[in-house]
Amino acid sequence: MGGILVQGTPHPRLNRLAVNLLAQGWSPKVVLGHLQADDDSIQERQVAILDRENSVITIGDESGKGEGYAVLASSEIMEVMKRAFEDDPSADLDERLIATLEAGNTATTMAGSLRSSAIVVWGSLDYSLYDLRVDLHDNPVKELRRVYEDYKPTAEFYEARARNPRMTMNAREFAGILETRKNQQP
Amino acid sequence: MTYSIIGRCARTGQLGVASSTFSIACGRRNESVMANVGVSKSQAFYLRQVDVTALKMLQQGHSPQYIMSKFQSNDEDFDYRQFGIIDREGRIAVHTGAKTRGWSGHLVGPDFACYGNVLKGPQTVQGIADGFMSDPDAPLQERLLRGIEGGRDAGGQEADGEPWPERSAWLRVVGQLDWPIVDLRVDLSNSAVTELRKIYTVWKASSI
Repeated sequence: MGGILVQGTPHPRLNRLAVNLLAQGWSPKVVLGHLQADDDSIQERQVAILDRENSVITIGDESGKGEGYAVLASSEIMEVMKRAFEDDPSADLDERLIATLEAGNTATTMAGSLRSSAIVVWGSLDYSLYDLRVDLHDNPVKELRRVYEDYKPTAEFYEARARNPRMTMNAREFAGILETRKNQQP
Repeated sequence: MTYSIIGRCARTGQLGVASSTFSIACGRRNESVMANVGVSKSQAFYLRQVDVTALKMLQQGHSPQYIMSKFQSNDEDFDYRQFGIIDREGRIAVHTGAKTRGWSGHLVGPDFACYGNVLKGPQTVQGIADGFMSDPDAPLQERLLRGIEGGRDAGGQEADGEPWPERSAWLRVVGQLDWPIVDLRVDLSNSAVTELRKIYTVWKASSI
């Protein structure tokens, strides 16, 4: 369907409204127009909307002068994040998003005040492919990478095990098989 | 190697889940909780589509019991699965398949069900129930958290005589709105339930 994230001074009701509007078929631009018309505090918010046709719109960035943006102090950080995301277009989306977050984390001077981080990736299923979080940590982006590195190889194993519970091998054996299969791919 | 509690607050109608396991990021399964509909939390060789389908069937008006019977007749590996379903009326269905591993079982009480597999024994699920029932007037999130703390304190997970650490934990409660009242997680830690209590305490102090 799409992605929507309100930050700055966020309210979950705006995310809900935006996703519902995308589901109705509206473009991000129209969705944003509805949000602006139906939210008295939109000037206080930073909003980004992306739909499945890769149409994007944002407010609260440099041109919008949103409150939330001021904290980051520098558009340089946005550039660094953009470059990180574009660095390897053939990589999986989850890897690209994490790398982007890491690049921003390295570039920003506010890293010390960060306490939580998250990554969510959806594919074509009724449930997310990736949904990992660090809710309270001194270095949440680094911690998210640690969780991600641990999660990635095991996710496929749990899925395969659920589809064939009669399989008796343990997690470590299965990880070995995955590795072998990966190496055999052209 | 997982223990969970699903519950409902009779006073407010809120619904929620608390869970802990050896596997990482158990709280990634947001598809298991739907406001004003119910909770379906499957585990032990779980297929994630199960919770999605259960909640869709609850939305249509089916009972947890009926949904469970449909799963039973459509899943040749039903004996390997464990799951619990609670609807907004507090109706509950729980299933612990005979082929789930280690000590596995469940316990049902008023407005809650707790269940787990690869546990130390029945004391773990009893500990969850006792924790949940320790203060029936407390908010649902507090009761659910006390539930899994009770499960941990009663012995938690164990395989081949060895205790298994809780590496991830999750607490999610929904009320009338589409977004949760509480949604807190520990995805990878050596003592996830303790860490979850810590995060809950910080969250509570900052959310007032």
